[in-house]
Amino acid sequence: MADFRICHAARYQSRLTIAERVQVFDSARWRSATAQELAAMCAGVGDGEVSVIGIPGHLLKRWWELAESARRTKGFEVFGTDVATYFVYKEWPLQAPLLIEVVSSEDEPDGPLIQSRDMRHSGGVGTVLACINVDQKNAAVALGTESGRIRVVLEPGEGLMLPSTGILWNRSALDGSGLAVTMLLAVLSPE
Amino acid sequence: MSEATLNRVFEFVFSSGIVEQGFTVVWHAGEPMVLPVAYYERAIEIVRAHNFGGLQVGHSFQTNGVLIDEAWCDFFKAHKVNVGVSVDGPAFLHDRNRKTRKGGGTHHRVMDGIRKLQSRDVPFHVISVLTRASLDYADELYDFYVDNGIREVAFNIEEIEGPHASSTLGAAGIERRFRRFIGRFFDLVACDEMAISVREFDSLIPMILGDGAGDFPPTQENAPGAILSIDCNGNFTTYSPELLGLQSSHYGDFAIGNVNTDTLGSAIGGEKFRHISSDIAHGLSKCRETCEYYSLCGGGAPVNKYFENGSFDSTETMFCRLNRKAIVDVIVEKLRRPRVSAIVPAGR
Repeated sequence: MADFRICHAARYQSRLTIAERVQVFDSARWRSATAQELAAMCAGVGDGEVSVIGIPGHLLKRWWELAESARRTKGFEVFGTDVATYFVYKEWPLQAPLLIEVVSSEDEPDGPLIQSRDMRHSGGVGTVLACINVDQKNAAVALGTESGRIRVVLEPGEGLMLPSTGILWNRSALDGSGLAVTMLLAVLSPE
Repeated sequence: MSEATLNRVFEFVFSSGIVEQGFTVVWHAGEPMVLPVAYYERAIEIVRAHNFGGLQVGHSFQTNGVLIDEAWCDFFKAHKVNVGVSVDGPAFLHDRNRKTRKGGGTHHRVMDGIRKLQSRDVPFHVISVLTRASLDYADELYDFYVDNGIREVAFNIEEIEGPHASSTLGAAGIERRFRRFIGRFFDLVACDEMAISVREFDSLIPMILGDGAGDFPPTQENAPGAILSIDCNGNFTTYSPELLGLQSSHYGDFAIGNVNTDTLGSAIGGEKFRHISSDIAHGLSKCRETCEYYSLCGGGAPVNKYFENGSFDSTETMFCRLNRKAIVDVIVEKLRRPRVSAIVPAGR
């Protein structure tokens, strides 16, 4: 079904199984993936790998402390460095020049999918390498596949590492309400 | 250990001349709390009955925590017992190796015990055994301690001793991963203004900085008589406590005497003690002459030397490489330079 493989990243300990995460858009509603669909998604090689990752609780907590504090700028820079350092410790691939930004949007259930490549960021145009749910509730990220749309449920602090070749993606609200806060790690394109 | 043996043990200890100052009784074994509280109440009475000199005697329990209840909390508080709970971090790490007889994990029961200690304000520390599986999860371990209000942590490595003939930490490439883990954990603790006390850091930093040199020896395991280990039958030995109960081709068992039949003097004058102590002293001498970490280590642990190298008269072990050299190197590096990141976010 998918033209990429879905898995948990190495060295990430997940509470949920892949079966508990992956949903398929079918007849105008989201449903759990069947065993056959899951087998195909987890075994596929296609254009790369979408892997579930997560930032630790202490970083998620710090993000919200920063977001709610008055003195933000310097703290965010150090926070971004600490997120990158965590990725390096986990040996999850990052590329320089790296941009880390946090975006918030209305949490819409089925917005249009967007290209992870050539995306405009605050620091320029680049490719999203990872998107992380920094909400304090579960969220989902929808992904476009050859045959349709799937989404991956993410607990607070969890995210997806996306293939550098580019992929169609967007947030997908589980309950269709509130603000969606997403941390993006992107590699900027050379100017 | 029967009451008669308990009486004999403490009569032996207080009359041996080995204790001029206070000491700590570490109730260890497999799981000390399988015996009832009343047993230890009586044991403490027995200690007091033989303590004519009024020496300060502390008590320490190392427990898996699953049997902690209100009565145990009362006992710990009443006698100011130093409590150590064995928990290897979050359930996905702990339950890999610590299981019930039916094969289920014990983590939830250990955490129930920890919460009882906390609810009764009983001070405790935890000992977490690091295995190969732990080394990729420094942040998860840190979050586990912080989230559960655990403020004192000691890391043991999965050692090679007696029947435990191999360690997951003995695999190729582990030392690099171990150093990364220690470095990462050090950074996390340092960023938190050392809010978590980590035994390995707290003991080594003063020695590395020269502030605490000489305040306490790097290890007691090499000093004859510094540790006296006694089993339920009254057999005793010294040096590494783990030696008691293990067997070897060189020495048979490592017991050097029995409190019911021997005096300390006769034990240390015996052939077995002289053989063991001579071999340990030779190994220690080699460490002193050849190892630049000696002043921070004190010569390692005899039990590791014997079961890894086949002889007390030897030097480096996996314990040395990981629990001493690697940790010292990481601390020195961290103290020398401020924290740096491998990847700097764009725009900086």
